[in-house]
Amino acid sequence: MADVTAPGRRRDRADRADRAARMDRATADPVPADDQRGQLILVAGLALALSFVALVLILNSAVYTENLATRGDDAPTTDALAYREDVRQGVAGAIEYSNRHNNASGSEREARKTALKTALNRSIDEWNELAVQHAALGGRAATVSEPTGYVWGTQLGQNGERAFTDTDGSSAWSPATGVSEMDRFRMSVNRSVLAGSRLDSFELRFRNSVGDTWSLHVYNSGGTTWVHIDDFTGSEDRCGDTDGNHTEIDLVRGTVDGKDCSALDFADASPSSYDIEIANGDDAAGIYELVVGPVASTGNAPYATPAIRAATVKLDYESPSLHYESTLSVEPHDPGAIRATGTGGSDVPDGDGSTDTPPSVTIDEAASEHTEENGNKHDFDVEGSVTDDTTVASVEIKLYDPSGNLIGTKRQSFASSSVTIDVTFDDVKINNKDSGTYRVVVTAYDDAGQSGADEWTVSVS
Amino acid sequence: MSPIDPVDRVLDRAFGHDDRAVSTTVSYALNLSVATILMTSLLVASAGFVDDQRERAIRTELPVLGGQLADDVSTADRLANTPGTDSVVITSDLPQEVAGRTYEITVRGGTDPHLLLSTTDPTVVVGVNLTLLEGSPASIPAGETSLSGGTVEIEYDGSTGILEITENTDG
Repeated sequence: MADVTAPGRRRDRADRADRAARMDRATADPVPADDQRGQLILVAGLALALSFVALVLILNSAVYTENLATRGDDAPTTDALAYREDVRQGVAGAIEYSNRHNNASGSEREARKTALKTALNRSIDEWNELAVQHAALGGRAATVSEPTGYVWGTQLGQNGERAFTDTDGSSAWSPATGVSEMDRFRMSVNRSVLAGSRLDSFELRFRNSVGDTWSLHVYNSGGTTWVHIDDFTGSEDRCGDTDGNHTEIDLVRGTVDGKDCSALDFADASPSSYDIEIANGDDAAGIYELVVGPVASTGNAPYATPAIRAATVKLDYESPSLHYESTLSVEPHDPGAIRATGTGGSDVPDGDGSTDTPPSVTIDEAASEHTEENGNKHDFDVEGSVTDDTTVASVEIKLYDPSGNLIGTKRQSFASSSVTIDVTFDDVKINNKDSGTYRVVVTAYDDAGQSGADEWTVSVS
Repeated sequence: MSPIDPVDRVLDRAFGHDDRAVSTTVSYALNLSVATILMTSLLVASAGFVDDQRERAIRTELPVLGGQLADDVSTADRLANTPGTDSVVITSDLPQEVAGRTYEITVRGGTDPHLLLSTTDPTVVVGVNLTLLEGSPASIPAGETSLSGGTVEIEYDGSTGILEITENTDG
């Protein structure tokens, strides 16, 4: 029996020993081997956490994009276009300056063109140097090239006050023929020298190849300068100006004394090619400036030089997000108000680069006397002298009635540096209603076309 | 008297008629399975939610990026339209990814130019019209080009009038 029970007891003992050993292990190791499946929750929790992080990142990027959508970022274009406009302004100023100040060096047309180019290149180089530095401050690279092309024209006119005659003193002449493009035609006319009525007044004509003529008269009627236009179709119109003693007429802009003058709109309808002619040039004095494109010929204006009508430059602009290259054709600035740059044209280039002083006129006396007893006819006697540094070519004596109408003109030709004048307007008929202050104007021209003038008033009662 | 199972008899002998350990084991197993089911369903739900949100985010972002690119193309077109323009290069700095996914930009030229921005996984395709100025010298040649999202260059060549969108090769 002991054999039967003995194994059972032995197993009991062995079980107890085993359990005791497991208890010992259990107390020695705090994590029981069977509890390691708890990591499932840990791992799953971690995975859940990661997915929430991913969600946050996605939502964050969505927020960022929404933010991006509300940003309007046009700055790179604005800067590039602003630079382009700066270049246009800068180069336009440089061309205008070169045209105005570098037109007298060298007598040959080609030499003058070279001088103009050199001056313009120098100006643009200097401008570019400053612009590059300025752009570099903002982290940009911006350059403008020297001109790669030019459009040439002719600039002519007179920049000292004198009659609108040519350099030979001729009052009927043609400043330019075969004109196809006119960029600028401005004149400033002295009211006191103008004729008193449209008849025989200063006239500017534009005649096309088939003989159609637009005609512009300038005269002074009762203290108003009238600009009268009639075209070949028979329509006519006029604009007046009473301000100051000079009237500025801009044919290209269509203004008289800065105010719009619809009568001048004929310039818009100019034919493809026309001649510009002046008649009665001695019935107006002042300054004028004319810039024309290709012409068949030019007359003897006090100055006629080549001028840059446009220059082509290339610009290159680079910012972090934009690279922009452009070719610009730049026309010169409009130089503001026309004004005399010398009295009597002392700085007028006379063709060979030297300058010339206008003649000096002095009226010693002007008087009137009755020519018959109890009659209404008067003689006007004018005495004076003219001197010049070269030769006095001609002298013009004009008599105006109290309301500004021209009564008579006398011309005398000379070839001496000092001349005396003694002229008489015979038998001028003066009724009682015509009494008042009569005006005598003496204008002298030298051989270079410069002029000088003097006035004298005579009271007739 | 019910017959006694020999195994029970052995167990009775081994544990000395102790049943309490059985309930611990069952509750442990139940705990574990409930936790597993909970975690699995949470994970599945959150993954689905994240994917859903990702798709919605992509759907919001692609039109914005397309709009930005179209804006830059318009800018290039406006510059091209200013007289005398020889060349324009605009660098459009777009992100490489939207909501953690890379995307592709397809440019379709011709008479009705537009952009298609697309992602795969999730599959989202968004179209954006390109508007060029009327009478502009610039034109996008007909045909289709694809590029991967990221920094893009818009190039206009004044001599040919072609406006081209390319990948930025400088990185």
